[in-house]
Amino acid sequence: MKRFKYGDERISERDIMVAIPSIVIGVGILSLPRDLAALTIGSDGWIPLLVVGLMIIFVCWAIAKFASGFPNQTFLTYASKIVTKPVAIVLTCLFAIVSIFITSFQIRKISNIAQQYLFDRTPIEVIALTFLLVVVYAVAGSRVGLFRINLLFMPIILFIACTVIVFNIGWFDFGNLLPVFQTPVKDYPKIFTSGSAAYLGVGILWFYLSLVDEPKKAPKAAALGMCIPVGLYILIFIMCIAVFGTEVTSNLLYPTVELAKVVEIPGGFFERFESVFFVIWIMAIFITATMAMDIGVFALNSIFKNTMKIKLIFICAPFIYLIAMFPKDVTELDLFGTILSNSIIILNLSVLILLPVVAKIRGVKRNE
Amino acid sequence: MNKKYLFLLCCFCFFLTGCWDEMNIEERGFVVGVAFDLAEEQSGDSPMITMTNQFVVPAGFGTPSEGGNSSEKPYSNLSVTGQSLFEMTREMATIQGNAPYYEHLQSIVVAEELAQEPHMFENVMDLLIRDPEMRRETRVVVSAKKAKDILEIEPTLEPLPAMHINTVNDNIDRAGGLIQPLRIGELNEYMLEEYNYLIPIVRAFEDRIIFNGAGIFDGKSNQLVDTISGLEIFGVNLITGKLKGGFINFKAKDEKMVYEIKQAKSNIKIEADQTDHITIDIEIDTEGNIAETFGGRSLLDENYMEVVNKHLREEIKHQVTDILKKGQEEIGMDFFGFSKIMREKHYKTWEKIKGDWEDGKNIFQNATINVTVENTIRTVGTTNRTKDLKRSE
Repeated sequence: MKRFKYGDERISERDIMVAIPSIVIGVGILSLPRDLAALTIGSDGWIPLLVVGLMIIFVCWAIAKFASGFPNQTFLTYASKIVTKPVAIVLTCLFAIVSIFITSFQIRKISNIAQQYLFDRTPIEVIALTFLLVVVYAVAGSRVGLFRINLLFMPIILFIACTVIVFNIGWFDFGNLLPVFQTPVKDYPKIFTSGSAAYLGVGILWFYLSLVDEPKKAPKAAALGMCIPVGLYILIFIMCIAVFGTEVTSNLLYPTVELAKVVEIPGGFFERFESVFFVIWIMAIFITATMAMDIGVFALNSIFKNTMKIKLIFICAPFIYLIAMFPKDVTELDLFGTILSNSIIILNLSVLILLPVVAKIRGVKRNE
Repeated sequence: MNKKYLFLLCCFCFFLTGCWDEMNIEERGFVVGVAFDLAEEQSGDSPMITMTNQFVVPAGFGTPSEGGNSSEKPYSNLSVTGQSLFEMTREMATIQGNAPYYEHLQSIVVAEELAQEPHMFENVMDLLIRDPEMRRETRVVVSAKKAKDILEIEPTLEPLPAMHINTVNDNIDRAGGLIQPLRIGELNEYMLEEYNYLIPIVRAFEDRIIFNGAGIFDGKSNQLVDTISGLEIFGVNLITGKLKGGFINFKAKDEKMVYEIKQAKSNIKIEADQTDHITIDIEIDTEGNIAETFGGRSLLDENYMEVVNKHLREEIKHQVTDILKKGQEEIGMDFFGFSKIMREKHYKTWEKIKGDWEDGKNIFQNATINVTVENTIRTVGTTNRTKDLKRSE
């Protein structure tokens, strides 16, 4: 079979800027307001969102800055130089595993939500399988093609998110936002961890930067890209609290979906806005899942250089499916999500600290 | 090679099994209204509920060019009795032949009788809030008599009784003595936060629906505790600032006048430094015009207008203090939303005193409430006088 190939497998820093929000905005925000509202009083949840968001923006910038010091080298190549090959392989494997888990998590979560709101009788297994097949198809193609999909989908996703926010202004009750700053300070560490759950996927920078034409411009682009989800999350959270109140938000399973359900376009001719919202949001989850899987395959491919990409995909896919089907119910799935997001943060932060420090000690030069 | 493709092609057939959730629109029973009554025959420990669903019958509508088919009603009501709502909706599917579909549900009518039972109302509402098919904008009203009767009236303008409730509501800004039916989303909030709330009461009268007063619900047990009249709702609306418009009859120097309120604002300040005694200041600011007079004095006379305004202020203040007094002394419940303001503005104090707000120390009942009223009479209509007093004397 012949496959279409783009002229070069290179991307620009603008692609990186769009890739970041593409992978970050996924299923997380659909339930995020509930987790935050359950732990905070009034509208205080925006504080952890902003603080964690700023931290993540910095992490983004730092990862991109470090990785841009090794232009045209894969993570495995420059990590091997710094911390010897075996350690580099272990790290790459960890990234691959985490990415595959992210894919599984996204697929399972969207299947759950889709079954609850859209397909009442279709088994979850079937929804997940169909979704996975489309993801596999996308990953099997050109990597640069994925970035073009991001570029194409991102404006649509942002547009629909803004529509949900704008059309809810009619229900905005300022009183619901009060009281402010009443959450006890000792609760914040716990709130921060739950706030960080929605910022998965910054790890892509370790890998995709090797494809960027002008890595020098990448750190700024990555940080800018990260600002989009941070801003969007805060807006959606505030909107949920203002429309539903803290108590209701903390009891709704998917407050963001309910927010879309509340939308009533004046005139009464269009009631079910959430159906449009779902269509678009499934696109958002689709690109998140595809990018995560692609990173997994990319990482594995850098270890097994002689294996064909398509083979790796076919090996990964069944695992993704099995992992996705593993949690029994919503509670287990949430637990899975929490463990996953924590391990991602630990992995990224430790690599971010480990590599520069060791590079400094062993005197590995950047910018060769 | 060709065989391979043929094999693949055959494999694809397995993906053509169709859609699990395939559902023809004719098979859906669109429900626009639901009514809940206590069943006439009670048996067993837990009370039996009668649920009436109003299904749309599309054939009854007709197209505008056909002029409608008058022989057939555009709706059909179906009642089922049982204990759990879910069980009843499933039972309905077997009777009606098509499953009830609640995505387009417009209004929920609950019988007063049922709402007076402790915890019954919240149990009934649970499914309506929980089910993913339900929307959060569905309106809830209480029916003074049988809830089923509301769904059985035959309104002249609107084909569906359940929709008629909403059309009547659209005119709320013309009469101040009405409150908006509660959105189920709001109800969810009140039930969780344990705020008291008001739900309008409707009555079926021949082929009309009459909104008459409101039921006061206790936020803790979610049962109807007391009712207030339309005039009293007007006072409550003035306090909460939810008044969209309305009118007020008053007398200025023996001349009856009607003041039409175009806009009303309220500003509530709560002094909560002393936890055992709080002071609530309510400032009401209205804007409107003189709509009707039964006298002949010149309304352009500034001195006279001062007097008119003074009487008007007193009348509004009188109505507001009346309902406040009723709430504090007679009913002993805060349905003016003061507890919400306490929670929002004085969170720390509220956490301490919320148990003593209406019970225990009765902080709300003993609170001092000050009311100040401001009116701006913008215009007196197109003419100053329609008759001359001096000449008629």
